[in-house]
Formats: sequence, C-alpha cells, structure tokens
Amino acid sequence: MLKLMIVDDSNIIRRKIERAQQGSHIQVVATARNGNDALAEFKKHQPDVVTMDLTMPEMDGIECIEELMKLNPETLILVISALSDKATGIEALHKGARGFLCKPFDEEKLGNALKELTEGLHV
Amino acid sequence: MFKLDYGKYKGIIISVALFLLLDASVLMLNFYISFEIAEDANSVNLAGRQRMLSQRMVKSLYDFKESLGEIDEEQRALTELKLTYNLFDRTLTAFAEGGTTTGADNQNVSLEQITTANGAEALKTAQDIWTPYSSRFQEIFSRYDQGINDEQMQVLLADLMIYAKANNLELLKLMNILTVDLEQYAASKATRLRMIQTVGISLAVLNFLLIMFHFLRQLRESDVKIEAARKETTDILNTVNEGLFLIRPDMTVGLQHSRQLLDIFGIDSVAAQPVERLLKDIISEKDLKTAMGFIELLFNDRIKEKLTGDLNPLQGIEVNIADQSGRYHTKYLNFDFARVSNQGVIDEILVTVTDITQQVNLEKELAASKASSEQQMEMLTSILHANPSVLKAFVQEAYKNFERINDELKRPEKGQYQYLDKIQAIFTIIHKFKGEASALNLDRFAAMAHDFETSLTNLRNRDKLTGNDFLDLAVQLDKLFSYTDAVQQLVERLAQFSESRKSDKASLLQSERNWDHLSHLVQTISTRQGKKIQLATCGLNENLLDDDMANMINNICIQFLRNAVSHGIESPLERQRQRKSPTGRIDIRLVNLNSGDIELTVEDDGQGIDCNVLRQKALESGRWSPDLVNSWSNRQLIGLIFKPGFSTAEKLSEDAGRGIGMDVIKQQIQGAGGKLSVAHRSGRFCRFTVTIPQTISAQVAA
Repeated sequence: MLKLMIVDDSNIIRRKIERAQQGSHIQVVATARNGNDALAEFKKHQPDVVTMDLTMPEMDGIECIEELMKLNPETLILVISALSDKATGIEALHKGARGFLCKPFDEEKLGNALKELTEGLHV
Repeated sequence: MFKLDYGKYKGIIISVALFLLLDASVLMLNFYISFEIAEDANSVNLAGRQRMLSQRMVKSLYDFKESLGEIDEEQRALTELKLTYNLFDRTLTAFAEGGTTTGADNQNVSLEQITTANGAEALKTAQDIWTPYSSRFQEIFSRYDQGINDEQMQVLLADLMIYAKANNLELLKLMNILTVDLEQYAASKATRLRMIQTVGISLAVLNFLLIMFHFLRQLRESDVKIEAARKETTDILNTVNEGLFLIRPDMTVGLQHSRQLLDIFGIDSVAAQPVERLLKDIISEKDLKTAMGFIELLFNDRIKEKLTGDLNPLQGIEVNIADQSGRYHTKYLNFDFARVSNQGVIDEILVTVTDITQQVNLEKELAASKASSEQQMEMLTSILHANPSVLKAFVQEAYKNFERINDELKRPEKGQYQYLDKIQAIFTIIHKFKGEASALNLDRFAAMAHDFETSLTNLRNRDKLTGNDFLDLAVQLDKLFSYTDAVQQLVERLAQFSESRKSDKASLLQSERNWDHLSHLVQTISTRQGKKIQLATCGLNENLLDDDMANMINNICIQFLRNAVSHGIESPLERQRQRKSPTGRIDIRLVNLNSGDIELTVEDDGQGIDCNVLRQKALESGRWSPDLVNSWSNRQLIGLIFKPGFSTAEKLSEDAGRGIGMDVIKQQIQGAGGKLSVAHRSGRFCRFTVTIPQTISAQVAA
C-alpha cells in the first residue's frame, strides 16, 4: 500500500480525491487544508504520494512543495490545481513536483494520473 | 548504447574463421612435409654413403692385405676396415628394419624402415648378399684378434676377396637403386607439398575473395537501405502539413525539420538555432518565459511526461508572424511536445507545430452565429407567446409606422421649428409602436423603439439641428425594418403550422381573437411599478369585430391601460392608507350599442385625475401663460391629457411619461369618427368612454 496525503483547502475536493482512491493500491493516510498542516501531517505519516493544491491560505502550494522536498526529495507530488496560470504550475514542477492535473477532474482522470505517477514503484 | 547484432555478422565471422583454419592447416601440413623432406634428404644422403662405403670397404680390404706383416700399417688398415664395415652394416640394418645409425657428423641419425617397393626389394637382395659377406668379415676380425698368423690370414682374406669381387658391383648397384629410389620418393613428396601449397593458397585466396564479396555486398545493401531510409525521412519532412522539429538538450533546434515549419514561421532557416530565438519574435515575453520553463521540464526525467500536457502554454497560442513584405499576420498555432527517449535517457523533444488559424476562426464564426441564433430564439420565444393574428396585425402596423417615420425623415424642412415638429411627429409614431410592442411582450422591438426614442430626445435637447443629425435615425429605422422583416418571415412560417389558420371568412370569428395579452400587459407594467392590479374584461370576446376595428380597440385599450396603471392606480401602500384594497382594479367593457356603434369603457378604481397636478404641470411646461392656465376649468385641464407632449408621470419609462400616447388615441378615435369622454372622481375612479361607429356589420356571437 502506498500512503497518500491530500492537500487542498476545499473540503469537497479532498473528499473527491479520497473517494477516488477507495479500492486502489493507494491509501489515504492524511489530509491537510493548508501548507502548514501539510508539513505537520507529512512528518507524522511520511506519505509516499502527495496531491497538492497551489492556491491555499497561510502557506501556498509552491512553498509547501519546497518544504516537502527538503524533508524527502523522493516524495511523489501531483499538483492538482485550476489552470488559471500555467506559469505557476510549471514553477511547481521545477520545485520538485512530478506531475500536474488540471481541475476540474473526474475520478478516472485522477486514477490514471496517480497510476502514471506511481508507475514502477514497489508497493 | 551499441548492441552487437550477431545474426548480421554471422556470415563474415564464419568466413574469417574458415580462412584462418585453412591457412593454419596448410601451414601445419607444410611444416610436417618439409620436416619429412629434411629426413628424406638425410636418407638419400646415407644411401649415397652406402654406395661409397661398399667400394671403400673393398679398398680398405686391399690396404689391410697389403699391410700384413707391417704391424703399424696393419693396425691402421684394420681400424679403417672395421669402421667402414660397421658403418655399412649399421646403416643397412637401419634402412631395412628402421633404427639409428651414425651420420656424417658422427651424430646418431634415426632412419625409417624403407617401405617403397623398389627400395625394399633392393635392400632385401643387398642383405642376402651382405649376410655371407658380413660373416666372412666377422671371421677375419675375430681370427685376427685371436692372433692368427699371416699365412692363414692371407687365405681367409683371399676367400673374402673372391666373394667381394663377385658381389661388390652388385652391392654397389643395389645401393644405387636404393639411392635413386629414395631420391624419387623425396621428389614425389616435394611435388605433393607444392600441390598442397598451391591448393591451400588457392582456397585461401578464394575464401578471401568470398569474404570480400560478401562484405562488399552487405555494405552496399546497408548503404542502399540507409539511403532509402534517408530519402523516406526527407520525403516525410517535405510533405507533412505540420511543422516538425527536434529540440536538443542544449535548447537548440535539431538539424532536420519539416519544410512546413519554415512556412508556418515565415523564416528561411531554423536548424541549430536556439529555440528561444525561434519563438522570441512571435509571442509575448511572458509567454516565452513560460514556454521555455515548460520545455526545460520535459528534459527533466523525474517528471512524468503524461502529467504535463495540461501545462503546455503553447496550445492554441496567438502569434504574430511577419510575411515577406513585413506585414504582420495573426495566426493561431498549436505546439505539441513529445519526449524522444533511448534507454531511459531523454535525447530530444519532438515538437509538432500545427496551424489552427482556420479552426479558431471557424469557432469564432460559430460563436457569432450561435449568438445570432440565440437572438432569433429569443425572438421566436416572444413571438410564440403572442397571438398569431395579433402579431400579424402588429407587423403590418409596424410597417405602416416605419413608412410614416420614413416619410417624416424624408420631408424637407425649413428652420429649427420644423425640425422640432419632425421630431415630435416621429416620437409620436415610435412611442405608440413601443407601447404596442411592450403589450405583446416583444421585448426586443420595445428595446429598439426605446433606443429610437432616446435618440429623438437627445436631438430635441440640442441647440441647433441640421439634416445630418437625422442620419443616425435612418440607420436605426433600417435596423427596425430588417428586424421586422425577420419577424414577419417567422410569423408567416408559424402561420403555416397554425391550426387556427382557417378561411378568410372564419378569420372574422371573434372567438379566435385572444385578448389575454392585455392582462399580461397590465401584469407586466404593474409589476414593474410595484403595483398590484387586477384586470377584468367584458364583451371583448363576445363581440365580433373586423380586423381594423379589433386593432383600433386593441390600441385604445393598450394606451388606456398604460395610463391607468401609471397614473390611475396608486401604490399598494397609498391604497391601504386610503382604506382601499391594495390590489387595484381595471375594468374594460365593450358594448355593441343598439345604434350599431361600439362603446368601449376603460375604468380604474385609482386616484382619479388630480386637476391641481395638471395645472402645475401646465405651468411648469411654460407652453402657456400662467394667467391662461390659472383661468382654465377642470374640464379644460383634463383636456391637457390629450395634448401632444404633455405628461404628468414622474419618471420616464416605456410605460408612461413620454407625454404622448393619449393624444394619439384621441386622434385615432376622431379619425374613425368616434367620440371620447372622461369621467372621474378624485380618489375613487377614472373612466374613459369611447364610442366608435361600427363600419362593418357586426353580429353578436352565438
């Protein structure tokens, strides 16, 4: 089982991602509504995979990715964000995220993205 | 990484191995045979020595015989004889049976047994001769050692010499045969060796040629294949409609690209140029930065290629590209990126550029046509809600109104005063039209008419007017005409489906007319003004009216209703203050009088007519002297309601307040030879009664 942490300030999106993982090889171990929470949860649960929103209160996604990379550069981070500004998405990937998924997304799209992200990883 | 394809090189490897094997075996055989030839030369040499020894033996024998008695000589001769005898005997045995003998250099030499037919036979004969010959020598040697006297020795020697004389030549001949035989044998071996060498070398050369041929053929084949592949690549690159090129890790464009790429970018060459330069002139600086960041991501193998597509900033991007004359054209381009990987290493990025300008323009057109069809839909919706015959009448009336406006616009005028008259005349027509459109819920018509009115009001407020100021009105009128055309077409099409479409005679039937739109009008206006009003009609549906009469009744009703709602009925709050029901009431009654005339009454239970307000407005308008106004009776003041350009409404709206409408009604009624009267009681009611002579015979509906 791979451990997943969901970081998004929207409760609806968090639940949507959580629901999409039921019955897959990925287990949701933590959710966080902003960057600060995400760092605390990360230290506690050491997830393998993180889905990351970019626009969040307190600490935004870019900063959070930087901090997570310091903690564990091998973490697989999938940015899930609305596509208002592609440059920010590109920056997130330069900071260490491995992929980008555009909101809105459906469960199939998310499932495929996570499969692609964790491909070749030993479960 | 280079992977050796053994299959491809199998032929050449086998050929080379065969070549080496052949060469090695020829070499080994050569070595073996030349060794044998050396041995043979030895044998030939020794056989020749036997020939010599056979004669020397006889000579030594004579020497020994002669030296008998001289002790020193005798010993030397005997030693010589023994040596010669031993050498001959040992070599003969070695030839016959195989073994060792002493060579020319006093070394032991081993000899093979002679097996050739002639040699063996010669040897056998020689041994037959030699055996008795040898035993005689043996006897002489042993007797001499025993100290035999010279005489006895002489006897023995004489006997030996007889034998020697008899066989010496024969022995020489046999040794000669042996020598010749051995020589021949050696010669044949040498011939064989030459032959083997020749064959071996020939085979080696042949093999070499085969290898060369094979190798050259493979080289040629692969050259042909490479050339064909290169040609295919070139053909593809010259033919594809997309711009194709590779980006190398140093962010430069690769050497090969499709021809279309140059056309898309309008440039002469791109090969080996930095990608940044290719994009710099055609997209904004911000987009360029984003794009370069995106391309860098693609070279980062930690990032999943499939999870970057959403970020591609060059999808459907608007670019400005200069043509050869330097003029800029706006194009829409799609850039697609794909990694080119080998063994997990990202070598290049393949970029596919597609010109989607046509597609984008088409989408824009579609959007425009969608907007237009939405407008048509809106039109259709309002038309569907309207009564078909009423709508038809409306359209006909609209054309008439527009023609009249057109006539007004065309009429030449002299001086400002006439301009104002013209504006007033047009205003009267368009306002009436607006009221009708509003009554039928034809919102777009109403909106267009309202705009028209606003333009007129603006013109009226100007200090000085010229003919050119009316041009805008002509344009607006044209729009009204074309919109009316569109509505008419729709109405006609709808009429084809309308089940109420019957014979001309049947169209006279009153029952097909529907007056519901009046209730709707009251509802619409009262809601807009925050009032609650209930409309009751009586006699409208029960009386047969021809089209003209019905139109006129309709127009009158609309104007009176608008007046009643706007001016008559109070707000619910005000009504409650006056202890009236918050919901106002308007009654329309249509009566066929015994005289055949038609009487239409529109009565509301509102505030009645406030003559003081009318007087006030009249004073404010400044159109009459205050003395005159103050001298007017209530009746005269009420008459103001029907004067053009007089209004009491506080706010201008499409419901009321333009100061005309009622005057139009009055004109129409008078035009039809009818009469109009007003009755009111302050705070209680206001009633307009119209009597119109019926022109077409009317019948009471059954």
